[in-house]
Amino acid sequence: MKIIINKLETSMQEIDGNMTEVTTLVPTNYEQATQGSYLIYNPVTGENISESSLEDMQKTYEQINLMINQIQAAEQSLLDFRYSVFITGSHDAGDDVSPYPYALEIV
Amino acid sequence: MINVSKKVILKNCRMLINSSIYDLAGSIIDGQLVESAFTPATYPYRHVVVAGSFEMSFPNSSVLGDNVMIGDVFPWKDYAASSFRVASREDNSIYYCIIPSTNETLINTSIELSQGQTATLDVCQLGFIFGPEFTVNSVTKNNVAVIACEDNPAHIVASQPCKLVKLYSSFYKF
Repeated sequence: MKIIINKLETSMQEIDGNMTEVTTLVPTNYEQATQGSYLIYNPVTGENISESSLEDMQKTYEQINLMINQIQAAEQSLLDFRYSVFITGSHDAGDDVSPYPYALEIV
Repeated sequence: MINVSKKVILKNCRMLINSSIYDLAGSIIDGQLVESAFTPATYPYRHVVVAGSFEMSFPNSSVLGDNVMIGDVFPWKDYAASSFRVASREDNSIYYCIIPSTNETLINTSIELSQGQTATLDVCQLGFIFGPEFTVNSVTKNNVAVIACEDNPAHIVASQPCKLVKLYSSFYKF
């Protein structure tokens, strides 16, 4: 069975007592979601990569690979990553990121 | 150029925020959603315009677009479209993107403050204040302020009429 993961959701989760940005890959069908959904940290865009240690990233990719292997073994499936939420136009993320949100004050 | 800020984690507010500055009128971002509709109930993020204005349009659909002005919180209604275009209508148009914690939603309210009226942002609330002159914790400010109350409340006094937009996580019961 072919599993297509075609949705990325970024959200906040409390992990080990810290609010952490998490990107979730959501399979297209919910039947597979119970087996195939998992979390990765800043995985595709590379956003905030400086806030994640290389070790964390490596661990994450290892977890993904493990998950893929498990799914493939269980379902004889092909995992096809396809990110359908995308941005085009004049926006060029990465070249124009300023360090801090405009006018923000934290009290 | 569209200058997207780094995302800031507001741990106590339980949200992630950043700002996007469109330096020229006519700058655009095109996006594609997997979902076939764009609704406040299903779309978890909120976008607050803090300077200039934007036009939201929905290419390849019959859905009518909307202008999103200073102080507006987008989306405020349902749009039956999966493609969207954000276009700045003025130079230096700016909006904030606010992302909630997983399985939580953002609650937003808007309050018009008359001259002399006061309001409070409680701890764990994010506030946007718009007006010619107002004070936040006794500090005079003009035009716009963005206040994240991570550890302390913010007391607002409208020196002149202003608008307060509050957002907070559904995790809290204010």
